[in-house]
Amino acid sequence: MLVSLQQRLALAIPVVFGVSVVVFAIVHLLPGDPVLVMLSGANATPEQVAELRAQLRFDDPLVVQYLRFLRRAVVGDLGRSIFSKRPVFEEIATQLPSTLELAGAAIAIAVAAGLVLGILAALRPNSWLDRLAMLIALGGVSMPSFWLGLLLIFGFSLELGWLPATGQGGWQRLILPAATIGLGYAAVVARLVRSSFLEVLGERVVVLKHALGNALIPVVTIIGVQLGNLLAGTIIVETVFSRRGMGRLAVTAVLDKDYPLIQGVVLVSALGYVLVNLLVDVSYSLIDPRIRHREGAA
Amino acid sequence: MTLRLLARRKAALLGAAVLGLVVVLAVAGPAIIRTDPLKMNPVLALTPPNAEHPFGTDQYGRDVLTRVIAGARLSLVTGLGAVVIALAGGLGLGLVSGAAGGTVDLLVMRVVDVMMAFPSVLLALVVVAVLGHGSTNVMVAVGVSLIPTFVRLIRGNVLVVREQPYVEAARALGCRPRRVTLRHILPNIIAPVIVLATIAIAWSIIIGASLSFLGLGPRPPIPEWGVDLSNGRNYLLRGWWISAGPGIAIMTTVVAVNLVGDTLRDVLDPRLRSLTNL
Repeated sequence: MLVSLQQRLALAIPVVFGVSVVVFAIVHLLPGDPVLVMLSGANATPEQVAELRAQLRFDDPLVVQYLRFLRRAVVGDLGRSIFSKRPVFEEIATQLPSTLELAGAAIAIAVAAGLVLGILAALRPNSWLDRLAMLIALGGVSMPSFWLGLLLIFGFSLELGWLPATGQGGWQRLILPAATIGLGYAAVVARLVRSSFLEVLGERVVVLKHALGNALIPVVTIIGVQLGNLLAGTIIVETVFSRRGMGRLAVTAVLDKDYPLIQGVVLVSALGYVLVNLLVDVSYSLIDPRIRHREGAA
Repeated sequence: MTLRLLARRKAALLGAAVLGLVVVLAVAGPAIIRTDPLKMNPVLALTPPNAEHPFGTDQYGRDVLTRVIAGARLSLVTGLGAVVIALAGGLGLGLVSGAAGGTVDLLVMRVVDVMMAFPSVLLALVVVAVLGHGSTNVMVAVGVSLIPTFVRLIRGNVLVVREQPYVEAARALGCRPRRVTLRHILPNIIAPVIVLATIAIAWSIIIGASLSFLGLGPRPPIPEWGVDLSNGRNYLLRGWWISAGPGIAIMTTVVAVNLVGDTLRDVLDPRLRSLTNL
């Protein structure tokens, strides 16, 4: 167990290094003078240009600049936003909880809806119920989240008036955006639950609770694999529902050409993704003893 | 053989027919519809769907159906172009990595690992941040974000095929590595690549439209499904049909691509089921 954790950590180190290089390179790959590009949306005065140039010290050799970037990033100094002038770290810290809340609620909906649909489909294979469940699943996979989000707003907020359409605060404002992300993944979970349930039922295990335990392992796997995409889903959904969060912060930063903010958001998101994948990898061996044994033997 | 198997499945036929229709509209659309997708007509603003305007009109009085048909071209080009980029990058890196092995393989795979650390929409966002907005840049961004998936699949298959006796025989006969890769390995890994490329078209259309929806793609008034859907956002109550047209168009096209892709997968390479379920 400890060995496998060490191995995985060792594999993650070059990835983290690579991520830091990519994030550092974002600014240096900009066509033309990066300082002018960075300030092009801000109506900057010559003094501001000179100030930013002095602050970023682009004249130093690239290696020196990279090491400085790294040294600062390690202690949480990701620079300042060009627009709000606030530290990037602070901006991210205020937005992150909202995104985590959304992602958590989305996973809950994905698992609950996916299990129900998948099990219903598997219990009566090839029946109309199975076909309907799989049709809904195909729709879920093929539905862009921004379109589903607008449909939910239209139906549940504007027409029925049951839930607020946009904004922050309270579980009522969380349901629609979480459902928008969650239902897409519910479709993936449903297809998976159906096939693994059929497999387990085929082994003549008739008691639901036994079948369920075995069928859940691939579901945990898929949620782990899809977590990154789920977080990416928040980029679009937060914009549709005008919610605060990392995704909306990323889009606004790209639209405003606020490069320090882009670098910060991308760095934190990618590192978070690497960390989550590491945790998911390790958790498999806890859930599924077969993986633990295989690793022990390897 | 494959075509005959495909034709026997109703779902695939339906998907192919819908896809064919979308392609015809994208190619010949401007010749078929005689109205201008950019032409404003304030008198007709926010007209609900009727016989003359089956999909209604938007807040500027432009015909939604005309814009949906005109937008098909850009959305399809983005989807197909992105897959061509991903395929080119994936084939190049995957073949070299799998066939060469050793340090080259190690290096390529570490680069792919780093790319995989960015979820595709985030990676696409990074590329747009560097290249700037616009439909071509969105296409490149989506293509780049899909490269790692292609590299992994292609490399994995190359590793299996290169150990086959016929490849060993070709090597023993004195074939150069490049010839072995292109003539003996490539043709034998192409089936799963075709399946992935088909399904990736659906992903590309969705990611491309998402970026356009966020305001990073082509600028209004250019007709594009993501842009038009976003345009209708503020008129949901008074003109739900503005978003409905492009929304239904995206979904229908993606369902059609998925139906064809799923069937291709079942026929060509059932082992890919786990990959394409994602």
